[in-house]
Amino acid sequence: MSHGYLFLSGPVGSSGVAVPHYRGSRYFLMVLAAMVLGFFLAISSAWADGGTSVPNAVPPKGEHEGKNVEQPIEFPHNIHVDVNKINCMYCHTYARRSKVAGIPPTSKCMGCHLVIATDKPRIKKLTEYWEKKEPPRWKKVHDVPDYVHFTHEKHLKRFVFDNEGMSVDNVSEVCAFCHGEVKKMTVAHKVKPLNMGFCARCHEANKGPFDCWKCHK
Amino acid sequence: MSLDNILTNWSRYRKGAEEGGFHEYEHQWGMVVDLNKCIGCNACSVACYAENNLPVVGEKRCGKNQAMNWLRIERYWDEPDIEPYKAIPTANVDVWIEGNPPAKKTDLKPSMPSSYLPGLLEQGGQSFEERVGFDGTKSEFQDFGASFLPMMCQQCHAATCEPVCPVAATYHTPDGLNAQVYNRCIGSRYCSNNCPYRLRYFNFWSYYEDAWPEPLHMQLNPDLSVRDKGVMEKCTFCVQRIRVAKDMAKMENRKVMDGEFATACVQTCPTGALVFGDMQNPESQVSKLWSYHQVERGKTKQSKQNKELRGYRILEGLNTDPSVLYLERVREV
Amino acid sequence: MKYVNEKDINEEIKWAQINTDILQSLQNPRKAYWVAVAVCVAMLACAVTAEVYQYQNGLGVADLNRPHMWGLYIATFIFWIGMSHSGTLLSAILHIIHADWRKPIYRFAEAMTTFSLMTAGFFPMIHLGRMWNLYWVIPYVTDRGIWPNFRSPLVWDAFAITTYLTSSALFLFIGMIPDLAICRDNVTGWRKKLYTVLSLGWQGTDRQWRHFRKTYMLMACFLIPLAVSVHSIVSSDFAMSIMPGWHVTSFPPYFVAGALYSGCAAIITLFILLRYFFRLEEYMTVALMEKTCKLTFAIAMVWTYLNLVEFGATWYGHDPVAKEVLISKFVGPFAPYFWAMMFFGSVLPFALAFEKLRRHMATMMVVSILLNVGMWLERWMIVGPTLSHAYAPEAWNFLWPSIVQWAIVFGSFGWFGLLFLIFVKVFPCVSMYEVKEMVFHRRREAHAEVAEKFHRRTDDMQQATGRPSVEGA
Repeated sequence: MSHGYLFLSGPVGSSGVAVPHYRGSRYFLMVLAAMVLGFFLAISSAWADGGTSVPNAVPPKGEHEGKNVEQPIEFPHNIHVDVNKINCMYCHTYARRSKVAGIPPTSKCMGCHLVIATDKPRIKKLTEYWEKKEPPRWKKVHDVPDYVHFTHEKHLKRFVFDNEGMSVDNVSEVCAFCHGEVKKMTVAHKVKPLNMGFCARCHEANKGPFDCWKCHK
Repeated sequence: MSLDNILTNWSRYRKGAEEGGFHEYEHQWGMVVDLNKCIGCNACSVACYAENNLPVVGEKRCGKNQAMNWLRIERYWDEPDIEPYKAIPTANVDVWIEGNPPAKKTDLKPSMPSSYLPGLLEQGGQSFEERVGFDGTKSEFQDFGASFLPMMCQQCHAATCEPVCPVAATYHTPDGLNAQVYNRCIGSRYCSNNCPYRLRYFNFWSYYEDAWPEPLHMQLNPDLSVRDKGVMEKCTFCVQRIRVAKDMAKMENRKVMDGEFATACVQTCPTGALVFGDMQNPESQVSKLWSYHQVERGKTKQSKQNKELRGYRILEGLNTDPSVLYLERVREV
Repeated sequence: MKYVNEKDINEEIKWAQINTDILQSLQNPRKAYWVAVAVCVAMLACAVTAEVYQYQNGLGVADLNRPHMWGLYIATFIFWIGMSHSGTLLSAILHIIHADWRKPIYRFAEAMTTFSLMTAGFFPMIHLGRMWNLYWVIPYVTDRGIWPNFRSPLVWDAFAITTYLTSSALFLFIGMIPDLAICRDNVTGWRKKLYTVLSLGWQGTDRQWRHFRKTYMLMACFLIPLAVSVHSIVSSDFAMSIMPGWHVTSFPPYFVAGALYSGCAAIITLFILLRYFFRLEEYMTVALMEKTCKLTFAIAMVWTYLNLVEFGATWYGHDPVAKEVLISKFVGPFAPYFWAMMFFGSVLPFALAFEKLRRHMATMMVVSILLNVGMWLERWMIVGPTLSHAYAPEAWNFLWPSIVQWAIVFGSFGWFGLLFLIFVKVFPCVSMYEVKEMVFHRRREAHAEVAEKFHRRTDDMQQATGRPSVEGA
């Protein structure tokens, strides 16, 4: 990735030597060249490959501070995933077979919570919904524009199911590529930019497809 | 594609260009249109509207040629003074449905695409006024001799629209398709100007605002975007269906089978005039038809051994290399 | 031939007189000026209203449709780009071939170049479907890793126009520095501050003049190929397409000739206006008018020739579709405008061939405006007929541009006028230092002539009397 940009920074860097006569402008150009080089180095170091325990994968880089979304019930992801080690795909069950990951129906929650932790305030709230036969109106946290067609299925195939040496138990690390460490959060909030640069960098690093029509149609 | 990618692929591009096309195609989707079977019912066009979130623009905008019919049925008329039609008198037909006011003269377009040569404007010795009548009581059309030409994007392999787009919103996919990326389009409309078939349609208005009033918006296809004003669009060979079929095949680790799916127009055609398939697969119906009719890709002029064969491609002399094969209509005259 | 000995400029004029005469154009404006400004602002307001309306509702309000994807916007864009070429012709080309008669009239032509480019630049934006994404045609490093399509002539346009605008503005400014110093030394108040900054500490030292000459010559040499390439690139918007009537090899020279033509016609118009309103008869003399007219006539004939080349090549060529487009220009719905263009562009310039007409300012005013009407029609005749009558017969139609298009085209003249009006009141519209140079050279030439005559006479006398003469030595 980074050496592509050396092509651009090369001539700018060398132009610092190209003006021999004027001392002032030479220093100016050298400072400018250093700044330009530094800029590109900073970019390329920001894009350098980072480590992950997922084999054959380069996780995408990028930070983003998303707004906290108020959900009808403050669902604690940390308790479910981090403490109780429930697999992400147990609840988000469509992720491996469709475009969207899916929000579990209330019946799935009640499957456990008819008997587990029924005295907790959040579970009482959940039971209220269940008895009213009304789903909690969960709000969307990770959204992309309508002209972006992201498919969970293909990404899970690439990083989990077709990935040699990858255990399905660690799927939350793959999810964390785009959703951040949800297992440390209660209500999920957006921590990755999920913009085109974020996607494109990951596709480039992981040899993903580069056809525009893969995602935009 | 980053600069890195461009530099990496440049040599491939250059090398491929010498060999006639730089893509290592995964597929080459193509189509065959049998004009003998086409009855001009417009079902394909309607299917296209339903599948591809095409707005119905209304009478006024349609009259201004701002309609969005990705697949249009062009209607042509035989010259009325050729032998078999001479005997038939032009009948007075009330073309206007009861209750509709007769249209004004200016609202009508000559049905035959009129050349600006004044002689051609008058068909069969009758002036436009004589044929139509000022009160719109006479038929605008001939009674006989219509032929139909379904025109969808020809998915040219040497597409003229591609090199002129300033932002590369239209490009060639590894499927041999001519892609249009709506969210990259800035609406310079150069592609449409450079399309000899005039098959690119521009969103002159925010059509979606009134095309699908309240309950109708539920009919929109979620697999592709609804376009706002200022972007170009065109037939995609139902890329959302292609994508689904390819994804399914990939998940099952196999190749896309011929006839596994079809575009909306092909699926809908009541007479089976349209055939769709992968031309890289020699067993597909499309490839068989192309080879039967001895039409080859990448040529500006076909050298057929059998002159009776009906296959031709529209405006192939311009070296656009279209992917749609038309089978000429044969008439007993 | 009674005007044969007429002078380009009165060589006996005093240099201080030149300063006063030209600086009076910077004095507080009269009522007529404010009326002109008001008219221009009103015109501009029309365009802004129309543009806001179009921005909110989409290009449908401009009555563009499927074959007519480009309308008057692109035609007017070419018109303004074309207009910008005459400034370069007068200031750069005539500068390097040492045609010194350009000196009193090149400054406003140069300003016209910059301002018409500033007008032209708006049209690609106005015509875009999503103009807020205009910056995508500029190559910039982004983490999305996407670039503009360098094969597209529209991207070349973006490069060409921005380069040309920057260079011509610089050229205008550099050429003005000595004059700005004169202004600086003659004014008070806010203008003093402005000119002090802009004249960049000009003192008129030998060293400064030497650098100035070099820079100016360098810029002139740089600007000429640039100007030619700019309109060639604009012509490749059409010539690079495959559409009949656009796919023409002779388009680049044809466009450049048309550009110089309309620019020269505009120079005549502005020449007369400035001469009349600023009473610059001493500097913008009838003799200069004659020269400009002759130049315009020559270019008009080149343009006519290239037109005929294009028609002939199409008529005798093997492309039936292109021929049909040509026929549709002759007899189709565009025929009135086509023939109007041929009349204004090729017949009317013969008025410039007659001395009587050339010297009649009112006639020339009307003629020059009509020439530009013809040239505007020419641009429309390039864009319109091909779109309405190309390969696909299904999409043959003719649509009259809507009022929105007309309003924006109309308003663009207001914008140009406004910029020009501001320019003539803030900056000297005649180059003082170059007029002085011209006067100096002419005076020396005139005196040399006198001296030569005198020598001859003294030689004769010498031969007659056998005495050497002291005078004239």
